[in-house]
Amino acid sequence: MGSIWSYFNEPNFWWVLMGTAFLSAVASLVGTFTYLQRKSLMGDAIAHGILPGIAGGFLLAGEKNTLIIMIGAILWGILTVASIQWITKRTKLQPSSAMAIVLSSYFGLGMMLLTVVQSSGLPDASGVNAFLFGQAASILPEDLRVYSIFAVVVIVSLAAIYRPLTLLTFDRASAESRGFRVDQLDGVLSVLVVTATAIGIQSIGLILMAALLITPAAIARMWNTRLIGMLITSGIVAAIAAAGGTIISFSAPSMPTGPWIVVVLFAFTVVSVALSPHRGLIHRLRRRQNNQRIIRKENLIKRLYHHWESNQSTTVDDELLRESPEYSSDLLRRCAREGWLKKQGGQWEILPAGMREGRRITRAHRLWELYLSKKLRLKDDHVHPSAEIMEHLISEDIEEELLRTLGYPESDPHQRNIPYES
Amino acid sequence: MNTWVLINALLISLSCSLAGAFLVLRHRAMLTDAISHAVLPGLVLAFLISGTRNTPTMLAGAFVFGFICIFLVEFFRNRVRITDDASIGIAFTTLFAVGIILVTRYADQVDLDQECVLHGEITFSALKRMVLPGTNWAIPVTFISSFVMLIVVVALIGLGYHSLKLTSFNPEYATSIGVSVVIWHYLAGGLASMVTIVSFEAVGAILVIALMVIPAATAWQVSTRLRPMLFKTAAFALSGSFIGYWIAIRLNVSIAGSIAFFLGIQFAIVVLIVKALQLNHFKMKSPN
Repeated sequence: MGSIWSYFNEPNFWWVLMGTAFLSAVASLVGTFTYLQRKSLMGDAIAHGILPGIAGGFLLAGEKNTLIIMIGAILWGILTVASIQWITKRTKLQPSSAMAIVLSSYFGLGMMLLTVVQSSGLPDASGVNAFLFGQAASILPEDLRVYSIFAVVVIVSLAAIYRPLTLLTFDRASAESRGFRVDQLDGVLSVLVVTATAIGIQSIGLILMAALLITPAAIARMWNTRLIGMLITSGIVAAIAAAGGTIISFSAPSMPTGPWIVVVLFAFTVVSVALSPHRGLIHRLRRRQNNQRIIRKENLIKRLYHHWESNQSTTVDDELLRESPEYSSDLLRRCAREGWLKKQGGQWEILPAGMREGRRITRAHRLWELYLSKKLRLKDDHVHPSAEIMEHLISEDIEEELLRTLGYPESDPHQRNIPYES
Repeated sequence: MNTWVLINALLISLSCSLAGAFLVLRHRAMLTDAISHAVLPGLVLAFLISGTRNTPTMLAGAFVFGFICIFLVEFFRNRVRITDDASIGIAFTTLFAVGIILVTRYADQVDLDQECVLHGEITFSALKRMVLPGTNWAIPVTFISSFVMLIVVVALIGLGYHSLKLTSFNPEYATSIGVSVVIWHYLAGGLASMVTIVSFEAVGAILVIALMVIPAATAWQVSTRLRPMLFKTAAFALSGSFIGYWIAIRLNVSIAGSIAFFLGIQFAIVVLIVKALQLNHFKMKSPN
């Protein structure tokens, strides 16, 4: 164990850990805007397209010079975006085809240059592979300094155009009509995506960089309804995932970092899918259960009210109740807790609140039957199934509306009394 | 030996470009991107479990993960309401990441590595040979699988030509005369997925996109009708691959990379020529 964790004592480890966390958080902030603008796959195209910039920067510098590689990546990234736009504008091809063309042919060029780098005999030539899948353990403090300067530029630019960018993201037409230069903003955002991609190349690698632009934003969207909350969440998620990938990279130096960051991100996705307060599966399951429980309670009290209608008795034998399909001791207990029922000996007594509830459901049921029969001219023997559902959905407003439309009727299509509160 | 590599490259580029043509026409070009990434863990696991590298086993593994990818995308989109493109992005990056981890972890057992995943290894495709029964010709095994794939692709397009055309260009009309748009949609996607998976070994995960999309997109610039477009697609695929191969050999660089890049250059040149000559009559209507 001791040997595995020994890197905790290396000062370099902590620098790299904090550095990659910071860089990934910044990238995910830009990704939040592209996610909301539904341009997520653009990030993938850019990330693949910048490879010639990286390999070219390496060849130009003749060594692994982070600053020159970064500049090469950013310039080629801008060329990638421009090429995609040129194709979309000049031909009848859709943006998705344009992206596929540009990303694959530029990646091909990058691969050609990469083979040149590998056979060049330049120092660190094998280090260039770290840019494909990320190798956090190979990041030096001076590399971090370069990446961080660009990351700070990204944050400052985002802050500077925050308001117009937000407006553009949520309401493009309104941004246009208020006189914002929408195409310029698009251009600035593209450059920010390119820069955000370039700062992550050594920690996550360019092949999987798209995940860092997409997944934290998607996770953040599951927990937030406001942009600022989304930005904070996605930043934190990306930082934790990058830290996890870095730790794995230091423990197993032959492993690339990027795939592990993506796997950690996916674990966050799974947890969010289960637990998210608005969209999560558990939340929706519980809501459905609650609805079912309400419906079953309402059915039971309706049944008891019908018992009163035919026998004029507010007490029911427990034995008799057991024969009805709605019977469940748990359900009866819940009705008792609502103050609808009371158990006395082997008898259930319907309390006034229960009577009111039963009357309300019965009234809603019969009003709906009458409405279907009178206004929609359905056959009288066809109206019951729909009313079985609608009785649980008809709110006070709708009931009032039905009563007015039908003129406060006395009886339903089956000549049964429509009960009112006296 | 180099001739076999070139022939193999040309066969693969023909199958990919023809199957890809219908994806480009249906605006589903990025689908290849997702599939070619997502099937990687399937290929590795199939190899680890079976210990062999024959095409049917790898295909089975890849198909399982292709379906897992589709399931994940649908799940994210419909159950959790993540946007369309982000659902695709999350699914394929995750599966590809798992594939890369497996490749690295079991590098000594699987004869795949990170390089191969990205470049493919078309250079080595001529190494393993089998003797054709009844003759003394030693033919590379990959040549046979590429050749079979091309026949399958051409046969399927030939048989389904009319329906593929109808459902690509006029889905409403196709529906009204009883041609199922959904079925042909999936058949076109399935054909493309199969070609992607079979070509994966030779050209790698990313460059297969170039073969699928670029020749068809190039042909579309100079076509007004589907049939000529398909022939032009094949021609552009052959010429781009040939130039790319030749230059890769001359410069001693990645063959697959070079083919992808020169397909792109060829596309750019065709677009520029069409614009310069104002060939406005090439206006095949877009399906939508």
